Amino acid sequence: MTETTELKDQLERLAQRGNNPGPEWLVASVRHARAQADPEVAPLGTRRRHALVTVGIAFVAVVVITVAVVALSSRNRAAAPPASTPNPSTVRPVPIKLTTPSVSALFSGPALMSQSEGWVCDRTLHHTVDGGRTWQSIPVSIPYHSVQTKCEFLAGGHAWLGTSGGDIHPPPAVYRIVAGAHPTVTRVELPGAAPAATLASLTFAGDDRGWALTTLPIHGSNRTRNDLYATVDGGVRWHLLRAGVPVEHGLRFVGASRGWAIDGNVLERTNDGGRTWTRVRVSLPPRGSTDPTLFSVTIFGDRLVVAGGRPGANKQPGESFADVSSDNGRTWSLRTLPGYTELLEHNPTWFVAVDPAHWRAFGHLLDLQVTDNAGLSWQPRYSLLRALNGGGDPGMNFVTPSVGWASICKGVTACKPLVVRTTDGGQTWTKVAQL
Amino acid sequence: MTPYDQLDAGVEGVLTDLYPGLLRFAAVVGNADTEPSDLVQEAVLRTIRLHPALDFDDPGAYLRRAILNAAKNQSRGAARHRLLMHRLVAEPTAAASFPSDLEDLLRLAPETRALLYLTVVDGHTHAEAAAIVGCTESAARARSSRGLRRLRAQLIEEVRND
Repeated sequence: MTETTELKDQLERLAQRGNNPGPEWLVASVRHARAQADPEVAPLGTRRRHALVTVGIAFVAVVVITVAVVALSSRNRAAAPPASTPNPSTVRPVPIKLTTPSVSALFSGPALMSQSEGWVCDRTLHHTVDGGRTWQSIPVSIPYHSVQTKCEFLAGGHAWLGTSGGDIHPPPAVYRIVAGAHPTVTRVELPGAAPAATLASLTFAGDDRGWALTTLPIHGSNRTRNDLYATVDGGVRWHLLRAGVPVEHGLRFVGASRGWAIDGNVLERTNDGGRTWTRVRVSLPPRGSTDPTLFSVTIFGDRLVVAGGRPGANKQPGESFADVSSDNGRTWSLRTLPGYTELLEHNPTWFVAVDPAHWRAFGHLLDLQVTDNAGLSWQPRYSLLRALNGGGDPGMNFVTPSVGWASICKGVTACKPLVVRTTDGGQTWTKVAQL
Repeated sequence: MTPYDQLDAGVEGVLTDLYPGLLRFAAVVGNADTEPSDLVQEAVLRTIRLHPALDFDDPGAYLRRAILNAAKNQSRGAARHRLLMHRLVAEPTAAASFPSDLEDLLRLAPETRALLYLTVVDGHTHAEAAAIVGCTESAARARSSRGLRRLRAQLIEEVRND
């Protein structure tokens, strides 16, 4: 025991030897190495000198800014009353860092159609019909500069994947994918859509009827122009249903005519397939310094579950909430949701309403929280991040209150989805596949 | 922001997160006269040149192995240098001095120090440490136990000499 302690102490002391500069030096060194046309040409000493000069300049800049800030704050402090020290017990943990933005933009979590059929959506779609034992990979040739924004799935091997481009890139398009022995992938551009438009929402009600919503910023204002497209043949052909609809995202349809969508912090309802929309106000948390926003709508007949949140102010994380209605939106009841607004906004799939009573959500540190009474009380479950062995940006989906899948992009720049499954409501998770 | 900027930001974030651990590892496996930060830089730049996106399941493990390889290369070079100096001058000068207990540790091979550090300080299992160092689990166990035996023998010898 003593020998091990002594050895540990010696190794610790050895680990602390040397002149230890900060990581900025290494990062600057890597940047410089990348900037060289041929890294082999520059000797190590030159690279290091360049890196040290960069760090030196950054250091001087930081010192100057710090001195200026200290001078300003000391001038203000003379007039202001002394600030109270925050009570450590009331300080909330810092939200986890959302890593790998290049990956998360392309990846969405698993979608379950039934206990046996499911999808994982990336540049390659993965489809299983045997509960995850075997997977069919269906590559989708998305143009390099396009960003995959939406995935939509229906039972029976039907999937649609929406992409958007930038100013000089292809306009928004929807890929129609049919899985099977000979999978097919067809790309259809939304007719007349501006190349700079973003595909904000994509939804299908059955194999044939679908809707796609594009948004385009209006120059010189903070508003967007939102156009609604529709298809009646499963996405083979699309047509502009109505230009300038008052909805921003979150399209959901039940059948050919009845649908819901989100516009800021209000819901919009249609009973004619999206041609006209009626504003529906939900219960919002008491007014604060920031405006609440709605993120997703889940429909169970006349029962609705809407997830939303209010962004934090003064560098504090925001708070999430849910609104429930059991009379098709006439009256609403407000509930609390675990997890910061910023997390839910980043990935709305982190809140799943399995049915009107059973909800699943990621909490503050991406621990899984469950409620079986429509958000009146929440219980923590096993940390999903631990089950997924770290990494960033997981997604999850439950098909019943007990059976659910979660997936995560492993790898720094290339997405290698790892899929795990629970059959006991999130108490335990087992690895299903590394795709 | 271009996809490349995002890529760079991702890689830099990973490096910044891994850096303190890599530095400690380099300090353990490097020679007495090698700056740990130099070893880390060499390993990272070599890795980035071959894998610009650090596209590994566990970049930390890969970089630790690269650091160990760099340390082993320097060890071989240093041994050749010492031999040459021994032939040319009567008393080769010591590059760095450490307390005697750390000198004993530094006499062990870099792989052995790496295995001891990974298992004793970092809390890895022998299987995990073996994967990082690049040997089998049984070889890792044997090497660690040989290293500990050697440290014990050195300690006994020092006590006798005192």
